[in-house]
Amino acid sequence: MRKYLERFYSITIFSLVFMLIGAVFSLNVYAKPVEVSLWHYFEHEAEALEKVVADYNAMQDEIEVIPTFVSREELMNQYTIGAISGELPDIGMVDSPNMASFVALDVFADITEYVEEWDDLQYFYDGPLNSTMDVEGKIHGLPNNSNCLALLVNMDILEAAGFDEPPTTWDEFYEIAAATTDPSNSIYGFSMSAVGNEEGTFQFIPWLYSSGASVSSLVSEKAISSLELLTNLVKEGYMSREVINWGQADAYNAFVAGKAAMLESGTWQIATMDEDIDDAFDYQYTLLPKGEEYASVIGGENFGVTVAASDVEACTDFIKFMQTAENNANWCEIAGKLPVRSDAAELKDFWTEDERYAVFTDAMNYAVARGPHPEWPIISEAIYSAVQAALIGEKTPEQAMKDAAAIINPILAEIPVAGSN
Amino acid sequence: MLEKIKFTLNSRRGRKNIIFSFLAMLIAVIFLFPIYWLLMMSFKPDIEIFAKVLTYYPHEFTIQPWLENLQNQEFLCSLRNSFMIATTSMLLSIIFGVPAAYGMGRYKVSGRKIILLTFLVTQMLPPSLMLTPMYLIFNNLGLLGTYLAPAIAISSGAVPFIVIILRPYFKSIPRSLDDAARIDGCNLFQSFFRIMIPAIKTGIIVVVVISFLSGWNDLAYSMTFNVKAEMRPLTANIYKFQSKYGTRWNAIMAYGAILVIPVILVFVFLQKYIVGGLTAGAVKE
Amino acid sequence: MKIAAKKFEGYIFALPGFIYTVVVLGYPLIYNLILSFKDLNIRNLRSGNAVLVGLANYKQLFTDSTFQLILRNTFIFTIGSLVFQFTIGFILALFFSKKFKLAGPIRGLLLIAYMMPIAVTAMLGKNIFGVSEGLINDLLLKMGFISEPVQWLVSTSTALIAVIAVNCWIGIPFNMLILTSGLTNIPQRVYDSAAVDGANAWQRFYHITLPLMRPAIMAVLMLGFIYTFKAFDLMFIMTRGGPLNSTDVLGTYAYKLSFTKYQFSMGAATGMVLFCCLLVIGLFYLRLIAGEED
Repeated sequence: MRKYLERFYSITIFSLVFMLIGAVFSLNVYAKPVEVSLWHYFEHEAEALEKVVADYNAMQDEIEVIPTFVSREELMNQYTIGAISGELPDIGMVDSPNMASFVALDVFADITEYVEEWDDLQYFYDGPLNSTMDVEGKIHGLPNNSNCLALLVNMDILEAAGFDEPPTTWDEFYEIAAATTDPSNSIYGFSMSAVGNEEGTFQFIPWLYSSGASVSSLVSEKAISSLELLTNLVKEGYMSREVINWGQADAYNAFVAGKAAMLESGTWQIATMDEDIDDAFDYQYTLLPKGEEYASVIGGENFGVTVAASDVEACTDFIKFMQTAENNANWCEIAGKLPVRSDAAELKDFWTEDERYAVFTDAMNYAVARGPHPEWPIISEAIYSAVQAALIGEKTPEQAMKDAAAIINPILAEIPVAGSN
Repeated sequence: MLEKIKFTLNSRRGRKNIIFSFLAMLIAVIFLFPIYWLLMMSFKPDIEIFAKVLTYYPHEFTIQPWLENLQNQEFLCSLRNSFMIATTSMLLSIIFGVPAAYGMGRYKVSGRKIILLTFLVTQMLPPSLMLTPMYLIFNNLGLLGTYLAPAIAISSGAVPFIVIILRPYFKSIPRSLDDAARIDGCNLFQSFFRIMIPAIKTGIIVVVVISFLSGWNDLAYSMTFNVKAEMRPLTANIYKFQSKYGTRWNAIMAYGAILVIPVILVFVFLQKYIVGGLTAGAVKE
Repeated sequence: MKIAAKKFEGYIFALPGFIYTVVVLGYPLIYNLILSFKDLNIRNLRSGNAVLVGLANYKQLFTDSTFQLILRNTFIFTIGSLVFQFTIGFILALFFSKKFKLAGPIRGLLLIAYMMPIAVTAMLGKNIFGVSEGLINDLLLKMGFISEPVQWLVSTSTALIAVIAVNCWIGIPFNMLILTSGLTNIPQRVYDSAAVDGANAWQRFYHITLPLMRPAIMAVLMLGFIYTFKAFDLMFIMTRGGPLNSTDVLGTYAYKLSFTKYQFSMGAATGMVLFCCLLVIGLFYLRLIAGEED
């Protein structure tokens, strides 16, 4: 009898304990926020991103955002495969000129209904915001940061060659590039990236628009003159032929090592510049030299909510939080970028105080966007191929531009660039 | 000692030994010079990397490029992933490949040509064709982001390779061994494991090494199927290094050297087997 | 009866591996075959109304001048790599089959070149073939073979040569390894008796070594062809196919079409062309070894 009692007790106690554990667990599950994956390719900015994410996770309990680093190349591949397989993160980062393609591939969800009533939207600059839109003007994400290109000059080399001021026009630029080239010390007058990918296109666009031409007028005299300028630099030995294999990091390294008098430089490079140059020489930023007009190009990243997200509205809410004026300002200060909203730029004075940033803030006034266009990768390939062909002497600048136009013009005739400039 | 040297120089055989050894060293020096270059570059300071004159040894020695990589948190994790992916795919390749090579090499299997052709065909698919459909399969099986996904993809390519390499080995085993095994009362599997595999130890070691390395060296599959940093092998991070360091060759070379060191270790560890096996001759009659 | 049992035994060993590979690799093949007859690209992926277009993609490929260049590159790259790596690999295999003290260790050492991750080798190649700071140019200048630096990876006419050179460096030890194992299987007795019959070294090589090595030679050439023809990693890191497609081969071009231009069907068609070229070579190989088998 006692045995039975013991058994009965033990069973009862056991089941009570189990019930308790179960209850605790189910409570936990009940209160647990939904996990949301975010893919990005920020490297030195990753810490700042994680802080924003942690803040957001702490202030609400609906979703928990989990950031994952994926390198840029692969992120593109993942979106491409994801477009076919449907396997995507909930929130994804994307380089602004590529957004239109992924919108066309149905990677990013339409979030217009969640942002159109949002007061803050009016403060976003047009250029970056347009890059999140499709042909009908529907918004698929929010811009996160902006950058553009300016001219970076090694003042020590310039002064040694007898120039006190950086160049402002193409003619001055060419003259200085010639005067500062020093083959005996393997110093080139100018360094840029003309590599066979989006970076090469990015670096050529300012020259094209500075001539007064545009992507849709590549066969014009003006467009050809811009390519001629760069081709002559290589021909005369003022710029290394190897720039066709240089990414922007490579061109920057050459400048930092004192092997280039001038560099076409991006905003993000300010973040590491002082550390890398280490007071070896004085440098100065200025606008890229003017052909017919000043010009630059807009770069930057956007964040979008993908079509795979279980709760588009909740994810959109996170992106909005990330892009509040205050967060955007803090973020861009850490990451060495330019804010994407006018009221964020006003929050900190270093974009106007720090003379390096001031140049970029000014350059933004002249900066053009790439696209937005769903076929941008093909347009871009035609452009960087033309530049490469001319620089290595495979084609004349005129022929190279004609061949590029032959590819680009039919595409633009079918689908014009949204918000065409 | 002196006597010995004298003897070596005087005997024809000894002279041949010295001349050939010297030639072999010369070949090795020329052929492996790029690897010296890789290691040497990784100890140069930036200033020397960008100098006009190329130096053939670091005039100023620095371990900074190495520290830059080794102080990186992700590094050891990636190293482990590389080993795991390589080992998993090697095991899969061997488990499926070696018996298949035996079956194809020892037996008159009808449809042998079809099977051989199929094996060859599987070797002919370029990575770009495999990525998307395999991604779809692994996605459905829930294998994305595991070691198994890239391992399956890599090993499916390695199995036919093993069959092609090992078939001649199995064919070269004399019939007398089969009979001996049967007389000893071995069944089918016992004779395979106890007699046949040891008989072609050389070939086995070669395919083990090759299938391990095909996993170690894989870039496309691991990169596509394993997105998360904690599951990625070293090779897949090369992109990141290229965009991060650009022409800073010393940092890139240090990273490359770190990737090559395990390979050299594997080689040092297995070299006596490989070389011993290769020179011993597969069949003892 | 006995024969039947034998066959059955053979299947027990052969089938698991066979089924494994067919299952894993069959689906991608069929998937791409179907895709290559459709018209799937960025404009219709979303709507899901990619139509069957039959052979239109293939027609478009073969009339495209870029594709013709890619095809040419692929063959030049493959044949160029094979000729050099096989010849040098064979010579080294013969040399190291001589019995001397350091033969083993040094033969093993050379294998490191083959064992290295291609991604690293490609980076190393990129550096060594640099114009102003590259090792090759520096050596050639010092030896007086050239008067000014060769524009290796910067010029469309020399980039492919550089890539082939790096690929040979990887391939030579592999060829040496497979051929060595073929050589060691030739019993010394055969050579000894030939020497007694008064055959000189060349005759011994031509009449004994080559015929007995045939299976190993066939295997190494066949495999070498397949792996070289579908090369991807090397160009992808060393040159990215540039400058101007001069080092693009079918493997990299198919990838670019699918993953950077979103022309999925064209990418699949390019991959299928690559596959068909290899299939023809594979059938040819099988016919050759069929003679040796029966």
